[in-house]
Amino acid sequence: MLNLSSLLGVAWRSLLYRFSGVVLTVVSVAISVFVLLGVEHVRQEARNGFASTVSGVDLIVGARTGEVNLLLLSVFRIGTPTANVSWSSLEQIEAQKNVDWTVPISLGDSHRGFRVVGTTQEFFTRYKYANRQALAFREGAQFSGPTDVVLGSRVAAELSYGLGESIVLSHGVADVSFTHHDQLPLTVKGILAPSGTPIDSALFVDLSAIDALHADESDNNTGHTKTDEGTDTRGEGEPHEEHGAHDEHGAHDEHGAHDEHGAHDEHEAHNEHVARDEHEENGGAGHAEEGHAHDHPLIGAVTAVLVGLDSPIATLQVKRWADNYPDEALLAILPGVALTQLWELVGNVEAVLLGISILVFASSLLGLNAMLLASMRERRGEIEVLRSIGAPSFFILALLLLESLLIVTTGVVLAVLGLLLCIGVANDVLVQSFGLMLSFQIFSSSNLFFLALIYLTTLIVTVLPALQAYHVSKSVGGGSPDS
Amino acid sequence: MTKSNTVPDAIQLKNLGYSFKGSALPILNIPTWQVARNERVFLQGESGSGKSTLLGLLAGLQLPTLGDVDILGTRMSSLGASKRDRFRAKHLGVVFQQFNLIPYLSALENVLLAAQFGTSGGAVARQRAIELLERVNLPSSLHGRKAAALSIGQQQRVAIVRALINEPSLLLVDEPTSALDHNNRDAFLALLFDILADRDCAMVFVSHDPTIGQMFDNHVRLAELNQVAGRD
Repeated sequence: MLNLSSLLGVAWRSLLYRFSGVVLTVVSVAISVFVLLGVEHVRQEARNGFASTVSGVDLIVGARTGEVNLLLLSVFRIGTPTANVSWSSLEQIEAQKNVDWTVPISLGDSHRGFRVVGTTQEFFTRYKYANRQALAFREGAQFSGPTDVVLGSRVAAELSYGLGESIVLSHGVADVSFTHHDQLPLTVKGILAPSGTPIDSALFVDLSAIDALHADESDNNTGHTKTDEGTDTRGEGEPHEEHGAHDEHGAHDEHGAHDEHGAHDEHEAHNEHVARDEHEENGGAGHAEEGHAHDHPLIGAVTAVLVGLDSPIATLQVKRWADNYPDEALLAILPGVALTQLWELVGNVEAVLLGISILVFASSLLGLNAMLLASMRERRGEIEVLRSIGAPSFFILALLLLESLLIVTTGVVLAVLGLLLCIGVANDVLVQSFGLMLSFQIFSSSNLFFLALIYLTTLIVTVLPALQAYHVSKSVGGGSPDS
Repeated sequence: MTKSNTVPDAIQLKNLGYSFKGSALPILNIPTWQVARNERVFLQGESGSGKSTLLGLLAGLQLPTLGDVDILGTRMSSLGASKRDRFRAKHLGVVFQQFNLIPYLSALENVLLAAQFGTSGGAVARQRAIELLERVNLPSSLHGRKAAALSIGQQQRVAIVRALINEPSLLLVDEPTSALDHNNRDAFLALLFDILADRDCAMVFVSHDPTIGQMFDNHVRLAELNQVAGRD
């Protein structure tokens, strides 16, 4: 009876006729939808990014402290370690049934405000983020010796370092440190690709490098303060306390506990373990194979241990074992659980963003309603004309709906394209300054829900006035009220 | 259909009553009124006398509260809303006082849109529309012009063409000249009579202006027709 092309033609001409108004409406819809989707996306991404800071690690073991503290320290590298995990404990952990791998991390040094992580080469293959995504190198490769350093992407970008650059680490984590390990400059061996996690703002060196650095300092500096600080390998700010703790630790651990262990343990590995301990105790080079001579009492102790298990079923079992480890006060955390706890602490941010989302949504709906209603009123006369020439109600409804949907859809498409463009442009900056990387997956379920509501509202706001106009235009009168 | 052996009247009202929804006071009460085929009737009514409502009833845009409205032998109340839409498109032509046209469509498109809702379409309708537009003195240079860009006199002439494009049997005209100056008004009326002269089409012309009524054989005052108490 009436063909679609004539409907489209009329709708198109109608939109062109009201071009400036239509453009304004489209722009306003686009801005509303842009802000709505953008805020909601950032909210989701902040949460997801947070939750995906670390994955593929089943447990993190550190000295006993709060769960959130350990997470902050080991993953976000916020805060200072209060105690360490001794090398012997690390080996005990590794020897546990179901433990597939362990990666030690050792904190305490920094470079121009960025934290330095002493770890093993395995870190780069074991540490995962997001959806089990492995770390990737943008340039170079992982460190292969104690004089190599790998930079997080943000470190490299902010300090404009390239491969081959020679850098000097500082002791402690303050921005300005008076103690520089300048005897042992390190060479940039690799630069990581951005991950949007705290990895981006850290430097990675071999565990032996950290030991070597401090051993070197201890050897070469005879001044009391220097020695103190040098001794305080992992601790920051309170060298004396640490020092005391180390002494106690050394005495207790090396002599008492390990003998006992020797007696109980059936593991063959233990021999080696004891040997290593004794070696260290005797002032040997520890595990630092290049063998800088030193007598650092803490060689081999680490801040935390990332643990991977054969099977996730064993997680709680190993956690219980670590929590009850007799020789040292240890704490094992499940990264996912601890991240959730931490997010609950900082979740106010999310609540604020959610509140903003809802307000933006409400205001964009109201704005859309106001515009569509105004245009409906404007078109009352047009509807009467169409009625008088016998246009079926379907035609009138379809015409008005088509126009509204075209306007809203154009606005939504513009908003989506704009948002994707902005994400593309902003990601560099966001990663650099906030360690936040936005994905291009902006159609989350909540965003789709918001969009569906926008369309539903459009439908209602168009159909109801159109039907009303249709029913009101019962008289032949060119828009004049009934007489 | 009282006279089954002859052609039914263009309009036949019987015991027509109309009141607004929720109002007990009727605004129309017409015991009986006929308009024969091909008859041209001038219906004089002041604004507020219910003439627009009556035209709405005649056009099938609404249904009476009481009584029957038979148009061309078809009882309006027997048709559903969409059938009345189609009936209107096919058999009736309507011209308002102004704002007759869709402003963003050209003169020709306005006429063709009406043709589409009726029966006709395609090249034949297009040809007829062009002929009719030229008949009302609209040169082809104006056919493609947007309705909003035409003068009111031109718009009203396009409105006549649009009303007649489907060869209706009844033309309902509501104050078509109220927005025109004196000269234009006379020219418009002359053109209207001229174009209807060779057509088989009844017309009800509604106006408050009695001077126009002199041009019609049949001059009816709505006040006389309408038996609602308290109205003039």
